[in-house]
Amino acid sequence: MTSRTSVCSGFFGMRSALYYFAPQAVIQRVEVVTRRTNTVRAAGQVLLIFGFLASTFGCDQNAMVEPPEPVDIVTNLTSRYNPTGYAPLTAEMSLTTSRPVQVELFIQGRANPAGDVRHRFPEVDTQFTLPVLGLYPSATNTVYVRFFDENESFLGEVTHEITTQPLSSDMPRVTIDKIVPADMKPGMNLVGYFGHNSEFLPQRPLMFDATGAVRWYVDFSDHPTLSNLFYDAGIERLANGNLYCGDGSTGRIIEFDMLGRLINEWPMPGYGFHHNVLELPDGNLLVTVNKQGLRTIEDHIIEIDRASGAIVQVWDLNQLLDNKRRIWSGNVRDWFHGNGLAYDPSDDTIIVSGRVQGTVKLTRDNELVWLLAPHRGWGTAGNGADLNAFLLQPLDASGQPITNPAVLDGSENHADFEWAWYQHAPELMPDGTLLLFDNGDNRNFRGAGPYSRAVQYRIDADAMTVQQVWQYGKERGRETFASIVSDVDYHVEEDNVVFNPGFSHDSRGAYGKTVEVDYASRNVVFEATIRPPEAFGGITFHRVERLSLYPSN
Amino acid sequence: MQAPRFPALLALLITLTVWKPSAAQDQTVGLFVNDDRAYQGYTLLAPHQHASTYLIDLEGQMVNKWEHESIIGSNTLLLENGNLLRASRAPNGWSRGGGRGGRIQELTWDGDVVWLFDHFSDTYTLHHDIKKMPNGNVLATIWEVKTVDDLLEVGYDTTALVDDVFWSEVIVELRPILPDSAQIVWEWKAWDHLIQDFDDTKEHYGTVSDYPERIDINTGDGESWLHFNAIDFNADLDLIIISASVFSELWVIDHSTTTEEARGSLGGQMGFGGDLLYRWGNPEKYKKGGPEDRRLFFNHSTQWIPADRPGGGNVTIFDNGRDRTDQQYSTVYELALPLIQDYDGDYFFFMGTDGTYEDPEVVWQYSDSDVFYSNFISGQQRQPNGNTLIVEGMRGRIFEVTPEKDIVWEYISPIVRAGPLAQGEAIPPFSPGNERQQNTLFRGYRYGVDYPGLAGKDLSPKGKIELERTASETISDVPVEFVLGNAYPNPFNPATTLTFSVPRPGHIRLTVYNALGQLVSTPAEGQYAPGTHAVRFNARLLPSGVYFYRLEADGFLAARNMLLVK
Repeated sequence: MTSRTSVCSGFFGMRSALYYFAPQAVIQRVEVVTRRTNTVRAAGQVLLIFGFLASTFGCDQNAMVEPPEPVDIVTNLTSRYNPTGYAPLTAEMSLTTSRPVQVELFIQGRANPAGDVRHRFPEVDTQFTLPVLGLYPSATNTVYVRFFDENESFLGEVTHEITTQPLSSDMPRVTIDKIVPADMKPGMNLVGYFGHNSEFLPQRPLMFDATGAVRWYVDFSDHPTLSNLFYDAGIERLANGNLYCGDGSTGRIIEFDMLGRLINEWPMPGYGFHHNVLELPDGNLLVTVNKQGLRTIEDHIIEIDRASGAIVQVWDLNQLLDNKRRIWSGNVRDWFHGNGLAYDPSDDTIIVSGRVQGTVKLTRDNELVWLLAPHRGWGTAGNGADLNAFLLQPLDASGQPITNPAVLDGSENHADFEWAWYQHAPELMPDGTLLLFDNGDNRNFRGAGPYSRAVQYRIDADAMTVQQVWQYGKERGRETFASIVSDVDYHVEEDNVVFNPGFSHDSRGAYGKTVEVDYASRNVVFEATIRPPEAFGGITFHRVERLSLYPSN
Repeated sequence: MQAPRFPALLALLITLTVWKPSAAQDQTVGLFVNDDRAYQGYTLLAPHQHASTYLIDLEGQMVNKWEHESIIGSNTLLLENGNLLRASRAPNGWSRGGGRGGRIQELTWDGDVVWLFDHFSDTYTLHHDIKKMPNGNVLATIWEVKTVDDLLEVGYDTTALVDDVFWSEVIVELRPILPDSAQIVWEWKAWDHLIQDFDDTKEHYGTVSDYPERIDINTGDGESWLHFNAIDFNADLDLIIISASVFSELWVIDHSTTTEEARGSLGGQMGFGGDLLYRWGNPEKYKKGGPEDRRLFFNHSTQWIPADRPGGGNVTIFDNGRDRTDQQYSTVYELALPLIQDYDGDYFFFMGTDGTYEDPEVVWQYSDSDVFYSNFISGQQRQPNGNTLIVEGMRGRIFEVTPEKDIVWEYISPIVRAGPLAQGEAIPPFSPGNERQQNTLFRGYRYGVDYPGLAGKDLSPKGKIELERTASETISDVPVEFVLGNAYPNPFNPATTLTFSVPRPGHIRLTVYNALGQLVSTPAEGQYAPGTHAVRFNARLLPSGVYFYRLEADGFLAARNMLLVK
């Protein structure tokens, strides 16, 4: 709740306990870590853990150097805790310096260096208004404010104290089940959280760090227009660094910054938001919507022009599919349940996951390209097309067509191939293959398993074939089974897949997990379990994203 | 074991020479069974043929009585404020239509009318059911007259029309305005949700099987085309369940709509406006099945089980069974409807892959061959202890069964058109030769001892409704000794007559035991005058087998056997 600055004195006062790390040394060390090899990993996790924590999170004994002499840089430094009232683990810092500088903020991890937060702002200036992110709750946080010249030479530092309020009781308890710091993708875990301890709405997105500590969240309870925020599939980050999501309560897309400031909003006249919004490469927004005035729901996709807000494209699944097909659900109204979007820049198509029908690829001309689903019960589309012509032929590992009718139908699995059941979170991988969260609800039409999977399919739209090329999760069984919601992401830099079941349950109640595995070995490099006080509808979260706390990192 | 035919006939002939038929029999009305497993409370008895209402205790004793200006029109409820809410037949109302009413009245415990709402004209009338809603409003069913022109306009095949009479159904939510008015605050009309495949030049033309949420105008039988004889409101779900009896279906519609939405096919919590959300019982009515798919055979009393009672949220329904082609019996069902709450928290009714609504799960049912049968009216009510109160309306019988189907309370209404019968008096039929009796009951409800409407009320027993038994008639000259006569008929099903002779005034006891020696009935006990007496023993609720009847009197003891064959 309060802030206090120790100009320079903090620098000396902390010398014995906190060391300055030469930026160049850190960079060099990170490079070493990212050039990891199997040999290095086999050499021993302990060394890597130490090395990664010490370097990436700033405790590299080898990099210690004596700080330069103090300089009289700061002419004014104040901060305002939780300036918007919506982001309790943030502050906004006003800083004036006597000379042009680059500023770095550092907050030391409470438990270990995995909790360190460091961010260098790129601007070189004398006047700054800086977001301070990653404060610990119920604490007087010491923020190290470091100064660099335009050549990135260290000039000195001051400390600044910010006292925070207790953590909201709506927040979950996060336990870290496994961590291999050198192998995991650094960053925070942004949780599209469904937990609560009082009112479910507004939903409260949060970020937790690699130690399991909640380091950021927003609570719009007192917001004039977001007090019933329902973001459904969750929140992600725009290319400009802000966060964005849809709000099912007010039927619009919103953009806000890390301090909780509403930056922009896009109403969708004639439509209501549900599930997912996706920023396209040109900045436009692709949204799963309900079209008002219809009996059916969750069966339209629209594209919003980012600049004008105009709806420039509409896809109607009632036309493209058969809205009377009831193979996966008897819900007449919510017959498709569009729950996730992906964009394929290679041919300017969109990929839509409909939880109770399958995954489809659609052109901008409102044509179906392919239909990824068990072959049972496909008839005629609303536009008259024979949907059987769009079904994909599964291939075995050797590329030969699988002809067993029971496998095609979905009632049996092939050793090399399983359909995805009630899938979520489609994502195209760099090589054009499709990654899905295969929930496994009603698997094989009989609830086989249970297990959920991250599954990767290679789809050949010319040959109309699909081949399963990778999977993870089946071996985890019920522990990571989530019949609904959930997410999967691929991180190319680390060649890791993060598997996020958000609807798991045991004797202790609802939980969700974020499980990061090495693609090649499927070894777990990070795993956390998230347990909310109360889970709305039994859901802990819809999606989890690994990203940096500060946007530009 | 089969008894010799000749001796039985001989015995009957012999007996007939000394017995003259009498109106006085064994117990014919009133309390038959009162087991301590019965749910403790008071039973509302609303005679179908007499302008009175009674509240009785488990002993069959009257604790309150209301007298009315006309018979019911059909449902009667005891409200939480202790008042009676009664659908009654307006004296100047319609003269045609079973269940016609035209009037709703609310009376205090003492019978003072606090609300009397007449709602009828030549073109509409209240009929059948009323339900009090948590907001104080009253849900009610209305018939509205449709003319031939109306029917032609919606593609009705008028060759099916009888007497040019056609009534459609309306459900209204009434906000009572005391003392004699009401405001309609919500309305739903069946006429707004039609489909027809008869006349492609008219409205609502389409393939009936593609629109299970619509009502096929050409499927009914005319006059009371749908005949809503029961509605019930589920406040938790904001849904209304309907007994569309002539269709042999139960329907569910959405009450979360506005009246405007209820006229259309959009809006409301499930997005269907006023179209049907669910239907079950007879898919042939929307051309998605044949007679073999039928599950209901004319029905009454669709009821939601309150959330705080066993089976809460499920539905009970009385299937009269009269449209069965094999045999006639009634069934009470407890059903779990396929109402699914999806992961978004929204509810929907599950539609099967073949375009028919998923069948409900039959959680519990009660039937008892033709022993339990009522071809019209009737109802049921789940009790807080898990028992079910059942009204076999045609026979004026109201009884309570445990989940295991043991009868733990049974009462036969003594009230006929002329008023209460005397105990032992034969119950007259509805009309000559009609299997319906005059003591018919539309429904019955049990109110627990802690029911708010009973708080502070005088619930002391005030005597039985039925009149005192007329003296057992002497049917022969004074005998010289005690005699226990043969039962006739014997074998029998379900009743037989037992005779005994008493030579001098005194106390006698006539008892019946089963083959295990267990006492199953005491057909006669008390002071009897000298003479030969006949009592009726009804074994309707007993299984087939040998039974022994025994007479004990002033040092005399005799026993005989008889055979019940079902």
